[in-house]
Amino acid sequence: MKPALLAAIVALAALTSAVNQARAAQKPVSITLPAQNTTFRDAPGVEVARKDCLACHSAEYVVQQPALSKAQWTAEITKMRAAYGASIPDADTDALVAYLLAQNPGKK
Amino acid sequence: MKRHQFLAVTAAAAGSAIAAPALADGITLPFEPGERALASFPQKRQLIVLTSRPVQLETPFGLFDGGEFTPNDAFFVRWHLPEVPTRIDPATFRINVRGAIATPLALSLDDLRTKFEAVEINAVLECAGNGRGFSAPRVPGGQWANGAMGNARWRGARLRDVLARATPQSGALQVRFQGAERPALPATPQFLKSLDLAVATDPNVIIAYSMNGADLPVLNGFPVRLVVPGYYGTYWVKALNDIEVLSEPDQNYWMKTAYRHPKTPNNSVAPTDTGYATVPLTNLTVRSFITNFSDGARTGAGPVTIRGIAFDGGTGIRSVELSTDGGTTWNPATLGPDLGRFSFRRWTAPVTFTAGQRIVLASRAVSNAGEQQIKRWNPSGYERNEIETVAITVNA
Repeated sequence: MKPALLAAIVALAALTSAVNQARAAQKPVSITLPAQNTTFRDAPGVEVARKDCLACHSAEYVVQQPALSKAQWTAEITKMRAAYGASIPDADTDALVAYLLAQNPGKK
Repeated sequence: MKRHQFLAVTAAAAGSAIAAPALADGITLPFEPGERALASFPQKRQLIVLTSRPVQLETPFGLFDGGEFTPNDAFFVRWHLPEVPTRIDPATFRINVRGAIATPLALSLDDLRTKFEAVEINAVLECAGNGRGFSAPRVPGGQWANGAMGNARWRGARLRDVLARATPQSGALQVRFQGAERPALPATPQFLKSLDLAVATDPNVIIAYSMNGADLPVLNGFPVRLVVPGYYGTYWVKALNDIEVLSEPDQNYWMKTAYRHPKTPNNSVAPTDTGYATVPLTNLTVRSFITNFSDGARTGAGPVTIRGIAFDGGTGIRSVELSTDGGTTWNPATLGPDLGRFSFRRWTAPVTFTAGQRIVLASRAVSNAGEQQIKRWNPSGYERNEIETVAITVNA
């Protein structure tokens, strides 16, 4: 496609969108967020992970982490508890660390 | 590229609800684990899903080849707290201005549009953690590639004009901002960010009600967000509805603990370093990117124009250079139109590819302040601005 034509189409689309949105701006705007699709994989401790992690954030935050050490995962749990007020019982820590290390291996 | 498909289940609500299209796809980023869903969230084209709760979406990098401005529906999204606003009534929306001021205000959108001079500014919004996934050694946190940035033309009212109407008291020190996002738990700190009064009253800082000539997408902070040109996105509070003038330094978590960098040369440390002081991060580091080739690409022999973008924390770009040998030798690139010192600056450089060659392209920018791209490391993966390389194989 010729750049000028593309630019014209983009400009027209932007204009149309601007007009539509300006009109819509006077009315309430609502969005519907898609469902969460990433889940924790089944392994010992998964129930603890679901209960303690998913209260505040989706599973992607965990499963996308690089290979973290036991000390790093423990520090993350401490941070969630101390900084973000997560209600993670002390008694859950060992099981949670074990699950997190196992779900994303590569470092001990 | 590993691909997977899933159905994003949505319930289209009645009335003016904007529902997410149903089909989504996948992409693999160049670090481990790099698998990501691609999904169309409301008012957004298919973007890389960092996390669905809180909503965090990354712009696929190829989109930056499209021009200086990042389309609203392609613009990255980064909320901090899980409860993001999903229904906004512009007629009843108010921005409260309170604290160490003489005159408390409750401004409607109409007030903002009609009672204050409208100003426009082109400015890059970049997450402080943009490129965190490339940190070496790796660090915990949101594992962004380099798509947690975008450039837009913002229109709104100057924050300083709004503050002037409220008349800060003589002891005013900082201005604190909050938007409509909320935590899931009462114990989680509210998301609050503060600027020193001198920064808050800079004429470039605006309360923006327009982005690239249209309303802001809900996920980018509709109906208004703070725009702090040159500063990292953490300060650009979305769905801004509360402005509090402080007479004491802000002690809240998001200023006192989070979004701070080492107070060391280049704000860089070694992974083994401890005990150093930290300060809140502020201005974007200078960066440049090649936009029309991606790492690992194959291409044909012959002359070709390399295209890219560059930006910095608000002084503007002095020069960009391109290397075709991985950074050993450099040649000047030609800068595109200057759209303002806070904007993406396009650049081009002609090269000729020889059949069978394996080429490592690299670009480096220098800001008008003389800042250069450097290798740095900090435990939060903030402010990455090292020279990026793009390896290309030329067909035999």
